[in-house]
Amino acid sequence: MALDRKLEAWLAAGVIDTPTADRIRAFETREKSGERPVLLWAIIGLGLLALVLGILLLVAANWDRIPHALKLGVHMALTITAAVLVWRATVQRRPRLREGGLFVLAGLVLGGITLQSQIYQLVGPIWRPLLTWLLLMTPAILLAGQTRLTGHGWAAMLLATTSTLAWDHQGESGLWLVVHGLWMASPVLLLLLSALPWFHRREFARALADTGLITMLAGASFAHFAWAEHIRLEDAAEWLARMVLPALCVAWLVVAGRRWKLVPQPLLLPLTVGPLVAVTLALCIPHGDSWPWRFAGFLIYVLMWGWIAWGASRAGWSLLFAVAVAAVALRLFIVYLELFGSLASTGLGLVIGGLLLIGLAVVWHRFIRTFGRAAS
Amino acid sequence: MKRSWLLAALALPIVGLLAGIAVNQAQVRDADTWRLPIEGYDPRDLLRGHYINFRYAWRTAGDPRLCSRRSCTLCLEKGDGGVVARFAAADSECSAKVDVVASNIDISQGFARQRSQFSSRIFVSEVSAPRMEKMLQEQPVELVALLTPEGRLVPQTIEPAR
Repeated sequence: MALDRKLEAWLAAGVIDTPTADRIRAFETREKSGERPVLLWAIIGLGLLALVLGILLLVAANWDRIPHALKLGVHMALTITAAVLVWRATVQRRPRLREGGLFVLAGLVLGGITLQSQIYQLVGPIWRPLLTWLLLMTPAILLAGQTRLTGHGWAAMLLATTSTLAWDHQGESGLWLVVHGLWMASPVLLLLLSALPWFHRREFARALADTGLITMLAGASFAHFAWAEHIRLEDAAEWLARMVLPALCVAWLVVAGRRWKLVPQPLLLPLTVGPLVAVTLALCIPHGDSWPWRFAGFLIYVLMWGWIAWGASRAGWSLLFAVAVAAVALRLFIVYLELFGSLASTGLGLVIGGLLLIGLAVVWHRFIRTFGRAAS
Repeated sequence: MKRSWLLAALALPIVGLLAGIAVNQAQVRDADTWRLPIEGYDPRDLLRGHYINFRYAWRTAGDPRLCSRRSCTLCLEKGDGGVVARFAAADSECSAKVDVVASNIDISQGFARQRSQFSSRIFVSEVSAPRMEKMLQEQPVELVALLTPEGRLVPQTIEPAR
């Protein structure tokens, strides 16, 4: 086994002694034998997912053979059973059963909306059933959800709903700009929601925070490609109106972050104000598609991720530091592609990109050394 | 967490789904059945499940300027040459009024405005989809649809033309 080989190597090198090796071996054996059954939960999650999807597919495949009333009746009976299961599991204090029942209930409600759409031929945009599901299931999930299973699922549904709603009305103006703003603010809303006092449901809150943080950073990174687009004055004005809601949410998040210490303080502004400023500059300044604007966009992107890397190094978040360095490295790689052209410009691009990457690697190496020293 | 809140939250999806059934059932209860000529195109929309896209093959009459993508009302009439869809003002008198937007019917303009084309889609099961697709390609077909008093046209099935 890999662990045994490692332990023998560490024993031989004098890093650990024999009792320590025995304790590590005993701990790892306990982990695998089911005291923290991560694999078991993953399999149960996959099984539940397959079950819900299977029910949906069976309903679709046997459409002609089953009378409408029977389909609706059986579905309602299953939905009520799942709701009763969640209720009884709460009363009996059986958290795993409650979580499984809640996930099945959420799937059945989505299936029910789909079923009614099919029977009554309610064709229309995809955001309508998603929004209906969100309105019906949000109270139950926020009150009873407790693991990452329901946390990630609900967060994904929220993001999917606001994204499809905004996408379907992308050409609209007026009050629809607020809806576009809601879509842009959704990751921040998830982070704000995760700041509520969740008490014994920390895993659920962490799922909201993780999804919010990942989508916010990914969205801000993606938005910087707007520097390679033509943004006219009227486009910039509309984007400014869209940014009002995200800016308010970020301000709220900064206040909440300071008060409740959501993240280490050196990371609070880089993770909140940084992406907001980067996105605002990319979308709300009228510009054309020329190399000075692209270079400005490149610098802003690098500054955003550099600030995050700096905050991560101060806070000792090595994983986030690695992600920030990887994000900058990816952007530097794109410099190669942008400067492809004549032999001279391609050569220049390779030289600049290569030097920047080497510099980045040196900074990373120094961080790892400093971090390692601080840790020891 | 107060248990009464959880009870209310668990009841919400059940009440919501039951309300959906009640509203839809009330709408189709007083509906009239229409047989409308249709033509198929792009018969399977694979991205959105098992739907058959079709185009209404009714004759249009009246002033097409009354119709826009945001608001469009058609008045269905049965004539000797088949069904006629007359462009109508939203508040006009008509016994078989179709609210095109509420019925999720897409409007596309032909070369002449009078040739506006109206398309929609119907969900069919995996089992019956190939049969209906073949029917649309090989013979004149009609859509059997319910027209609710509110003007929503609800497709039911596709059958060979009588």
